[in-house]
Amino acid sequence: MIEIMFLFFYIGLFTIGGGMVAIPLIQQQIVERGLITEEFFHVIIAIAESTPGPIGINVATYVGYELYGIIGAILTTTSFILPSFLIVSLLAKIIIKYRNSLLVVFWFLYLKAAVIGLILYATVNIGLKVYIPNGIESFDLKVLGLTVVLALLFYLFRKKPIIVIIFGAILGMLFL
Amino acid sequence: MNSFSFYLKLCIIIFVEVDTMVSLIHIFITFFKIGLFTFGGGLAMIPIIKRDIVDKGWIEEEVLADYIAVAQVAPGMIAINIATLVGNHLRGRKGSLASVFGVALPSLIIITLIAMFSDAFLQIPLVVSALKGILIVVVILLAYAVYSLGIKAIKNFYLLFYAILVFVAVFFFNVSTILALLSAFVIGTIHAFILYRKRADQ
Repeated sequence: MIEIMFLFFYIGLFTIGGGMVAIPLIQQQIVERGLITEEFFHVIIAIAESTPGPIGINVATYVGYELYGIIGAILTTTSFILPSFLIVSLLAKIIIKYRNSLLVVFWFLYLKAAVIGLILYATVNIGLKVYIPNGIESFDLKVLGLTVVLALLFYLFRKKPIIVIIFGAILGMLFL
Repeated sequence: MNSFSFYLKLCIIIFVEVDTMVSLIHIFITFFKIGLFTFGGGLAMIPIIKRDIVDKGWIEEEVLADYIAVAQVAPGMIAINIATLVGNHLRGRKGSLASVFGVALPSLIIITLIAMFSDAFLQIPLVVSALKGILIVVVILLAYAVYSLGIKAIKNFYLLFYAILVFVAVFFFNVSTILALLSAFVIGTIHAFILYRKRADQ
């Protein structure tokens, strides 16, 4: 349990630039350690995206509950939040002062690029499971068709992703 | 007369302090609402924070803009970072505890409730189909994040090459994601140092 708390503390520390980064980090640290199956992790992500609240916290809470029940949920969520909270409350003034220094600017230039590489990793990982769950033969044209429809809906409702998620759920119930 | 004006000043200070101080419960409730009504978290919170906090006169718009910039730069989730900064601005350490607790609590309650019943839920074929449909949307959202963040962040060929390198290392060679992020600090430091030396030479 303490190991899991440390793991989430660590993931919280490296979730730089928004909750989406938490997906590849949690995937690698939790799924590849065999703590949760990949299928179930994808269920967790689908639920985390379709419920209110920051996605990183939703995933942390869910994984904690699966592993150790309600106490686990509280502990993983707390240890996930703690690094943000500590760093920001202790270092806010320093960050405001130095955020335009040459070194910090370059750190974040490369950090943001790395984050994009990692989100791409999560996209490909989940995408592979969505389109070819059991090898090339399992490719389903219906899934591709739904993707086109949902992508068009996303283009229309970019500001309100929850609407697209509701459509995704409805279309999933109808066709998958 | 002198002591009278002193007490008068003191009264005014106390009165104004109490009057401008936002109660902890108020902070907690406001951030609880923000946590409850934002899907996707992070930057999706900002319009709601503007409406609920700036319009109430709790914080000036420019200060909030500064905090949003810091929240994006600092480690950790943007939602938690903004909550910490705004809470701290309003009522110090206690205020930041109230706001962070408030913003995280809806997730904790909702997800725990769902997780408690998920074994039963996941037996229903219709729920499984719905989740499959949602996962397609998740892939679209992630792909769009790569695109929209990429357009802003990848400013030159080096950065594009580096982002692809990170993807290849993590996806094909199973390099740790944490290691990939740490490499950004190393390369960023080297690049900044080279630039600094160049400027010094000129």
